[in-house]
Amino acid sequence: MFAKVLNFSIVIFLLILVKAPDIWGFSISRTDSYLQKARESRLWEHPKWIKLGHYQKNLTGLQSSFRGPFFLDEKGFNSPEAELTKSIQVLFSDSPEQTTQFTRHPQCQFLARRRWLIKELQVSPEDILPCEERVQWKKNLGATSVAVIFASADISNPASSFGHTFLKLINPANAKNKDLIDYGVNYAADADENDGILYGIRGLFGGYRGVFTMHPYHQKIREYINLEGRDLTEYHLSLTAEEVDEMIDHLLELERTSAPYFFLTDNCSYEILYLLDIIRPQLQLSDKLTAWAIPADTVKIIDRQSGLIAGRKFKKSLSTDYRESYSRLNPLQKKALDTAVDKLKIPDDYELDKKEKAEVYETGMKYFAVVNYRSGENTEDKKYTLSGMRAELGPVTSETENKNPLYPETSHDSSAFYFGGGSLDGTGYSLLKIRMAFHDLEQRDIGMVPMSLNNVGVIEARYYEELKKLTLHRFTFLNLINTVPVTPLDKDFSWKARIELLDSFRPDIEYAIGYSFDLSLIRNSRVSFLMTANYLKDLPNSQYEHVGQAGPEILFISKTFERLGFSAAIAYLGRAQQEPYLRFKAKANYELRQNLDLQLSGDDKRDYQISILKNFIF
Amino acid sequence: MLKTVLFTLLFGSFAFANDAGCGLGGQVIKSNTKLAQLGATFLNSLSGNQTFGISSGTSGCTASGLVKNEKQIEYFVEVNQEALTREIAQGHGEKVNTLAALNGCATDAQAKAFAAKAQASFKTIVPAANTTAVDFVSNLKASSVADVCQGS
Repeated sequence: MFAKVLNFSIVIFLLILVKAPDIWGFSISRTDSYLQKARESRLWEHPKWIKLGHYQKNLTGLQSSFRGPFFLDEKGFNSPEAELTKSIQVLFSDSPEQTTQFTRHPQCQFLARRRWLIKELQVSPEDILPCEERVQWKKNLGATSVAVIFASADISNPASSFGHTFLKLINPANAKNKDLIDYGVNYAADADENDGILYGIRGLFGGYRGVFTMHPYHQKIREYINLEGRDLTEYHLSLTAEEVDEMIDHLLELERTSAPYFFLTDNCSYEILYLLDIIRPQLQLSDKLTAWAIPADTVKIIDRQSGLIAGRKFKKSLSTDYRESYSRLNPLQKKALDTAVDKLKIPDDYELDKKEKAEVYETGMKYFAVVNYRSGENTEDKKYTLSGMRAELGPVTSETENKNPLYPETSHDSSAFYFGGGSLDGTGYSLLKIRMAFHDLEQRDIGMVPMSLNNVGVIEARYYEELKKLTLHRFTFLNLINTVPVTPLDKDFSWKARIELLDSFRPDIEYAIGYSFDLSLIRNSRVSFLMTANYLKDLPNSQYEHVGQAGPEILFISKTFERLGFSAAIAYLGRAQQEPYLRFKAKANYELRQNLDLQLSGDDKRDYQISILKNFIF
Repeated sequence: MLKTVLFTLLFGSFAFANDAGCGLGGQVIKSNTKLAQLGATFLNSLSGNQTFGISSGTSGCTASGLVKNEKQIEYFVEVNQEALTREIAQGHGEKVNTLAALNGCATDAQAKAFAAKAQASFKTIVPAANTTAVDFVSNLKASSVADVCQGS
């Protein structure tokens, strides 16, 4: 009964709160004077207003991709003027209708707009509401600084190389060991996985709505660190507490709204740069992306603004942690681990001291956790048994320092121009190639999935001097290579997938699957054994127009030297009605300096090439 | 309809007020199907039950999207129980440091003492593989691990 009464009183109290603005005395004449002032200075053309409304130029004028109650005027999404007029009218008058809609006075709903209008129109203090509920909420949040979080690539998934970015709102009270209870703000697609094949297509073409959400930071990063095995880098920004407050005000405005989410352009990274532009318009970060927004590139854009990054911090993923623990084990410990994950105990005849045993159990616990996250296999009991064994050994190990984490902003830019020349079967040519994204197999791996290839949208044009002929030699839709080394515990597949169009619109499609092994004798080198299948449409005058070929392939990749990458692939391919043959290709990449590389390549068709790569942000 | 709404208004808050934890449940455990991975990769899509905005999240432990102060420990354990169990077993880690800080440990030495005591009480805090988050928290108190940094 008491509970009922208490709840009733809460409801009544809330009703009173909603009604509160009635007691404030807005005046029609003052509101008219604000409107007058705005008209005189054509305030709706002010860059800040354009930013606050997320207006962008298109063919018909200015339009915002956001919809919904974010706009007070029904034409507000494509008329900054109508929206400004309506905003002034609604924010600085009683507005009972909007107050009901937002469950608070619109002035307390549109805090960032209010903040700017108060300054620009010199709004009278009598027209400024206290908005206690919002003030209290922001006080509870307590954020005075912001970090951009970059989630790097998932080791088993090169497509994730593009990365993901989100924000962390930092409360200084949590600085000491409690930063995990800070909050993360994410811009993501509200997608439905049940859409099947449509899922990807809708994602590319804006079929899902992008929304801002906020969760405790530990909850947010749990997905990335544990589930997806992505390392995180926090970039702490040098924004003032005032600027952070304004950013939060704007995030609150955006709460009930959404915009179409485009995987390549209007995505998480674009919105984050845009948020920074709103609070510091002179940065113009979002304007620096002309073609698309790749999260890894946006981190570089922020980094290249001098003084914007105040510090950075690295958090390794569970799978990185597991791999590092594993690599620290000595051969006997590795053997013990192999037994321990099977028998759930290190047999007594292993001559390991307490600390060595502890390290084995710790690696085993992490192994079962990784397996559980990756495959969904229930490893709870096994992990629990090993945890108990480990706990009994007492405090014999300590936290390991991150050994020189590789920060993603130091990786090369994702688009590239290639200039060079070569010779195809004795005929010389000059070469121009453009790569939209992202990384060549032989390029330096910093911030990338190691020993992987991820090319999307590559156009190669050649000019044969002797023949005076310009050809579009090759268009690459997609070329992916993912090599995952086999260890005694992990036996993941490695694979290749390539879809290309050769001159005269001839498709060249290839897929391969197999296993990879890290070589112990040559540092940073890997060999993959693959089964490869290829379909190629040959030139019209050749004997067989359609070529289907398949066979075993060996791929060797070496990054022994820091700046030099090398790959060689040899395949023995059988074809219908023809003799099997050896296909060979080798390529080397030397990094001259960041974003400038030299490449050499050659193959069995006597195509030899040299080129200079200039990496850049499109 | 009105009855249902009123009933939820009146009793909704009490449904969580007992010892049922934060009621995060499925929100924490996200599926890891190939399709979900694809979504995570290409769209950074939300995991369905996460679609609340900036200040409208509700669970037994949050109000207006923020975790209530008195529920911080419960919420943290519910989300991170798996990692916490591992870190308590090994006696160190970022999550166990956070748990120590939430229990009032201010210095590194205090956090270390907390982690050591938790490790020694491992079987009390996590008596079984399927120990719930609510039990985890009450075992922390019962084993007086939670008190390591209190009143010092």
